[in-house]
Amino acid sequence: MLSSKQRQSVYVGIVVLFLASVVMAADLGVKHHEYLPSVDAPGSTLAQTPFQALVPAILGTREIMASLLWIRTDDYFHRGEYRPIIRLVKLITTIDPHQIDVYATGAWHMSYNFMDKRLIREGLEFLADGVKNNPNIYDLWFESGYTHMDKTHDFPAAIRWYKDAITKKTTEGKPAPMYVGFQLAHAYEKAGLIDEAVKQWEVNLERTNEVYNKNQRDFAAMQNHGVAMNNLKMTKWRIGDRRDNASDQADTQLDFTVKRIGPRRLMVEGTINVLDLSRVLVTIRDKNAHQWDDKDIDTRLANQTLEWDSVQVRGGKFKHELKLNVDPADMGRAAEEIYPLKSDEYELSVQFNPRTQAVFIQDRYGWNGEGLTDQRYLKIDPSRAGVVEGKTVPLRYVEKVVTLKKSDIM
Amino acid sequence: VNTLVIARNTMGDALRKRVLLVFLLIAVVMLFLSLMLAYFSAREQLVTFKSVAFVVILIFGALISITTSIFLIPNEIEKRTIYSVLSKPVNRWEFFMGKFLGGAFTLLITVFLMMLVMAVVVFMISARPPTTAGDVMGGAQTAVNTADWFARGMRELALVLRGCAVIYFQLFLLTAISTTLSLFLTPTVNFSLTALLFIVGSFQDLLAAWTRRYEFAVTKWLATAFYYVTPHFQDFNIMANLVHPEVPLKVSPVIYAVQVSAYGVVYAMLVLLIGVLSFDQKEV
Repeated sequence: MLSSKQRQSVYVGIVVLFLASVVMAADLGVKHHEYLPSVDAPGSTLAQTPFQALVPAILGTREIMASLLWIRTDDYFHRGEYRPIIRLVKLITTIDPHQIDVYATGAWHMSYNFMDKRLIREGLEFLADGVKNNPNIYDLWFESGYTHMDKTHDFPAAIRWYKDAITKKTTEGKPAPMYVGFQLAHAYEKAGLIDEAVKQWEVNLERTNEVYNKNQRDFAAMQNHGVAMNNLKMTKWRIGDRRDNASDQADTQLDFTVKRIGPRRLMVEGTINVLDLSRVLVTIRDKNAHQWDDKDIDTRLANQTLEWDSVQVRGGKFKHELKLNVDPADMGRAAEEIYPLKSDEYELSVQFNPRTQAVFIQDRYGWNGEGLTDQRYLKIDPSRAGVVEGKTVPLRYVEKVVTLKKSDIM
Repeated sequence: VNTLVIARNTMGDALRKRVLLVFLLIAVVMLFLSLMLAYFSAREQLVTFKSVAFVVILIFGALISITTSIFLIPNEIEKRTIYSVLSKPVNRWEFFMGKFLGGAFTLLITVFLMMLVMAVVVFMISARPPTTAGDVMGGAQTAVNTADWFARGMRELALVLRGCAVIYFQLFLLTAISTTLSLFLTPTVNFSLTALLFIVGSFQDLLAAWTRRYEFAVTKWLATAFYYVTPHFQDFNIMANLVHPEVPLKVSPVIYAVQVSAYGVVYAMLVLLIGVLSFDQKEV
């Protein structure tokens, strides 16, 4: 048994320890917010999340819950069931906003795999959300740049994202990989900003040189060094070569016809006097497509119609069937879900843009279309001007647009 | 000395229990099984494995902690072996603390074994050559070599060690609570109440949010008091940093880990002192 003195000491000990625990808890509570987003913080996404997302976030199991949901998402993907994926990836990133691969892969699903052009914007917004939550990691900045480069062909936007990506780090705290600088140079070139592209290849070469000189037996260093050297050389050579070609402007003589071959099926057939393996972009969209710019995703998916395809030219001819009667990804969606066709009028365009052509095609027509013309459909766009050898060169491209009535399609 | 002798015997008894070994075995099997989950990239595999593994260690550690400690003293009373111990020159507080420490040592061994499995797997996942083209291209800049893989593995091992240490101190506190509660409650009730306290303690942030929304001063005061009196298990959750160490924190993660572990020890001592007082007056 404890003596009364010992008992007193225990009582004192209890009081002291209790006060110490309260002080420590108050201090830790504040610091712990670093580890867990506050539920009631102003603007907290958690405050608006459904309960199933809130519970793991608070219980301290959000990382595992996010990981397990991600495994489920992957399972859906491999089974070809794409429908639940968007909802799941958004839920996962709400629970754990640092799942970089979920942002990257989720955006890839939206922009690519669902084959619904309206979702590209959704994919880009998802990436932007990921960037906001992981601003110091290069991955999602790079993914945003890549999607603009490859999908929207908005090369100035790609440049902006890549320029930021190059200043960020990997998740291991290392500098962004070399290919980010390479992509930035390619984006400059695609945007027609050739002087900037040369400068970037010079920077890339300098960086690869540095690494290569440290370890000349490193195969990847050697490869990167070779890529930078070759691209710098080729870009400089092309400046002269394409300058010469630009003096002889080719008349593309673009023309095409549109024929309804069935309900929601259009055959676009035409001629264009360009090199074999050039590509024309066939696009169908609502007549007043800009009306969707400020609309939310649900409204857009319910009403907007948007489809395009890049079609190869052979022997001066091209032919493409726009199938607005089937799900392009064969996901079992009704055609009306992807192509609502709710407007009264539509624009169908065929465009030849030199900036989206392969390198050997660009060699003939130039980065900015310096070497092409068209008596009827030439467009000159100073807002997308390039810069070559210090001179500003507006973008020249060829585009014919026809208006279709709903009845022409249905 | 008496306390340590009792602790050693208690640990020996506990480690011989089948239920504990079964929990340990399931936990180890689950750690290996989680490696078979599907992944897109090596980074995802590491993130998923770490998040699964830490939760497996926490949950099975909690089960081992509670199931061990709820029987420590009641079993001695039921089998009447407590009389032969207390008839010797052993103080009651020495007996109580010895029992607790025995449970805490048992927990230390089981958490250590689970951590060992996790550490081996994490090291294998993180310290390996690049597998994708992106890794190779990125590697050129940073000269991926054996030393680099090893350094990456060691960084991950440090995270595993820190995470398991914090989990241990969380479970140390849980053991103190259930050992003390075992003086007043039957094992079944004790199990439920300790588990409930663990869950409530893990919901502290939600409790705090709710308390701020109350209009009435008395209710608000009571809720605030409840917030500070109940153990803050939530503060032991440092998973965000362990799984995503790349996300910068304003606090030093190492200092925070030390502080929260210290909180666990302080709160456990508080609970144990209450236990010492109660056991001193308990009729056995």
